[in-house]
Amino acid sequence: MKMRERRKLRWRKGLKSSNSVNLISMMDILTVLLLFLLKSYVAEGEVMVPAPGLTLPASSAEQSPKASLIVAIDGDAIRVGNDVVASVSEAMASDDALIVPLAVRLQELRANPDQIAPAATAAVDPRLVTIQGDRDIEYRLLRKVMLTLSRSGFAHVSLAVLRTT
Amino acid sequence: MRKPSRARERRRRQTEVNQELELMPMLNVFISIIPLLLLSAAFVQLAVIPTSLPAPSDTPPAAVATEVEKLSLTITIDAAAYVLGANGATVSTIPRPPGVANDDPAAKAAREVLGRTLAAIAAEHPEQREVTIAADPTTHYVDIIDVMDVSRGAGMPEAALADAGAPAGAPGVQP
Repeated sequence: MKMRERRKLRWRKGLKSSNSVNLISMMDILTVLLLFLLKSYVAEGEVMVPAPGLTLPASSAEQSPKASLIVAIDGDAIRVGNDVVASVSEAMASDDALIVPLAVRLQELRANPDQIAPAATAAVDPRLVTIQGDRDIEYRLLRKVMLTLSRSGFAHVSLAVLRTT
Repeated sequence: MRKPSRARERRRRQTEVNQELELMPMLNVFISIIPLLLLSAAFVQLAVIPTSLPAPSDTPPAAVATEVEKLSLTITIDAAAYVLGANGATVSTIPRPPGVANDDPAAKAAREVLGRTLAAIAAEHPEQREVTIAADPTTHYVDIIDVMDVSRGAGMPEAALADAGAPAGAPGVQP
């Protein structure tokens, strides 16, 4: 009788200690993760994310990107910001030196400079443009895009690359 | 006999509960902040290469060539060679393996030779910072970036683009 009661008590005690989950170790992990993420967030300054679906070429360049208009060229479309403005096949097929739909979009942006980089926190140089080109695009396409940009008043062109350390 | 023991136990349980830290609110905050930061963090590091679009044709190209000590260096990316030209004359031709990936050892070796040649020129002309990269219409973007890397490594960080076949000093990307 006494033995059974003691065992019962011990059993209840064990149950009680496992009743609340030990969260301290999880908090440790989360704290470290939070610090790491905050640090990487602060160290970056302007965050530029490569457009989805394109592989940027790798380079040893070290200059950090600035907030600017982004023109992304991948295998089948030319994007300004997030909008597709022209298809690569059409741009390549036309004999024009310029890409007309791209030029039209750029003229709209020149008229409304506050649309150039809406997410930017700092002041944006209205003549700066960053080209995110897929590593396999051909020079004649790049040339057409650059020519269209310079004709439309975006004279400072930067090429975005993946940083290799 | 039974009653006092149960009361003692309850009291003991209460003090134990009070000893634990109340971590749940903090956990809730963390759990909402961390996905937010994870989503906004950029895990690929980007860099940019500033490229000067060649100036409008108002500046006569001849004026550049007549300046003392100022070379107009051109690297032409051919299908099978890098052709290095200075002031319109071919300085050297460095063969490169056609049709291989740009991280192929043979392609890397060709870029190394190009880098050494450029570094030798840079040692002779310490003022030289610009180089023109002339590309074929079908040259891949990654090849152009690679040559820009080589010229930056050799001490000439200002790369301009031009068409292959255009005369030296008359860049192709020009309004």
